[in-house]
Amino acid sequence: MTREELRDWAILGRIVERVEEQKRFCGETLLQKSAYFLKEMFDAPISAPFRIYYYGPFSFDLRETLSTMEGLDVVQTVPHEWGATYRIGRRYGQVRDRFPKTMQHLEPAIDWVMRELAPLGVKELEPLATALFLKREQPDANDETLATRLHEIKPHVSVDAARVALQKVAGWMAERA
Amino acid sequence: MLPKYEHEIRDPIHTFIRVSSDERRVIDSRAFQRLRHIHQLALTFLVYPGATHRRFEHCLGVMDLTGRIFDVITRHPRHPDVQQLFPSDKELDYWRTVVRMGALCHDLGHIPFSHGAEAVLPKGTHHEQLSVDVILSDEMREIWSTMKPPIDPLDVAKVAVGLKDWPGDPKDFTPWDELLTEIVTGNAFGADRADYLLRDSHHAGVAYGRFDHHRLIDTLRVLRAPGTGKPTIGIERGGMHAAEGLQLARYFMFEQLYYHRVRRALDLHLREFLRAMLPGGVYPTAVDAHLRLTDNEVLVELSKAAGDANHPGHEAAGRILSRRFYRVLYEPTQDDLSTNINAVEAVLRGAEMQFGSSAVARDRETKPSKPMDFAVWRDDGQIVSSLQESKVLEHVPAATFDRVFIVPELREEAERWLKENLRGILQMRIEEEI
Repeated sequence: MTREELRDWAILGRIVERVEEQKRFCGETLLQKSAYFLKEMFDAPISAPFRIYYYGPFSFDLRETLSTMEGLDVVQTVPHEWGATYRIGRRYGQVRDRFPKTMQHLEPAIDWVMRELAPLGVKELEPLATALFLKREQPDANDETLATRLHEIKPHVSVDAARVALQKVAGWMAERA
Repeated sequence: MLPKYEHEIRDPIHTFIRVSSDERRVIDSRAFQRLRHIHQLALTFLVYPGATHRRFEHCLGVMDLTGRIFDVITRHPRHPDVQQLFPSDKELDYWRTVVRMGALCHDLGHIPFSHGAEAVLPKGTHHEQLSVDVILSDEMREIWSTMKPPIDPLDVAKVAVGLKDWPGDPKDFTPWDELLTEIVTGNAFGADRADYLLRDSHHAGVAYGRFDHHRLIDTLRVLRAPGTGKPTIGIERGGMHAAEGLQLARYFMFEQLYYHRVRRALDLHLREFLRAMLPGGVYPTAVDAHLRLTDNEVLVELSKAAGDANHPGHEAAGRILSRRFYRVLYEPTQDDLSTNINAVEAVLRGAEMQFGSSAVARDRETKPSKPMDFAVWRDDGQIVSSLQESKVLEHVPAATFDRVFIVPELREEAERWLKENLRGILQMRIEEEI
């Protein structure tokens, strides 16, 4: 594995570890959207590229990364009524300990993920991640234009719900600025 | 009205595959006939002599299974949560034609020796891109446009390659498009997967790929996934054992056949040969050039190169044809990985320093095939995760491997070296932040 791959594992594993500490459900959607926010809002060095799909930003590379991590027992999955929930594997410590600087640097960002994203369900995470995607894609567009666009991409999200998601993300971006 | 199936093709897996006249026109096209000359399993026939079957019959089989799955999920009683996703019955006739055509065309972009050689495609290109290019080519558009009703080739292309490998904008896919493509390329129950397991198992002479696909298909349903609420293809509870059988079949087939060490070593030599044979070392991706290249042209050149010491591919060709292929030097144990999760990289670097990089190679599959989490419609009406419902699925291991190879001439010396140095090598932490 390259240094970049192992660093991705360390970051993703840390999210899993923190969610597990909170005793919450840690499904793939939470990991996908958390990684997207970390990469786009906090410049976390996550190598997986994200594209926008009907259900919001998603990375097939990240899905494969999680699968590889599971194969090597860096993370594990356990059955849950909503699907598989991730938890930390036996070899995560080995990976985490190789990147002390990265982990220390990203810990406040992961605190933010735990505070703002971990308590949310799939239906709340998707419009928020899509709102961030649109704001990054069209930084000069106003929220009204973006809300219409978000509704076009995700017809199951109303324009009103899209506005709320965009305002929330704008607030987060302002805090970061 | 369903198309009239006027033609029958004998098949060792599905007995008879029935095709319409429009489908036969696609089958008779240059692009599809080319698949008669692309081995389904690359050079696996050098390990399992029976594995000489081609992409041609696999694609026919995928079309047959796709039609059956489409009929089951559209005609059986639908779950009320997904009812609004389905088009009208009249539109369903169009989509049935599209989904079968997509299945038929899903492998048109395979280069000679299929997956075994895919690394010689230009960086960032996959065979799915080529499949789309062929489906949308002028040659094929001529066929699509004369069908009644005419078929939009973009619909066929989307079904053929799926969302993950779609070269265009992913937002092109509606939830209905995603369902259709899931019938063909889906990770859990895709017709592609079902056919290749059954067919590869039959031809290779290994029984591990068999499962009760008749029962499985009969129980497939469109459901909303628990957790995400996304429409997806799941099963009725009564199909659980058949679904478990599929997952076990997949695991065994990867371990026994697809990840076989000799087959993988041959792939490495084949790629080296193709890089030497192709102009610029890269596969040509223009549709006409692609359609002119099959396994036949490569096999002829391989034979020529093996007998000509001045041929740039002489070394690789000789290793394949004289069976002087790479041998496995190292595969990590669970204990090794617990000492150093990057054990293989450490051994590779050590071996390269000791024996030279041209004598050593690494091969790994970084996308382990793990059991699927899919939706199950229980008898009490609840939809739950398969992992919650099955006692088997959570225990099916991921099929994965990571190996260091050495040329056979140095095998004994390298094995002695590794035995003496492995403990020290595993202590190396080459990727650490300082």
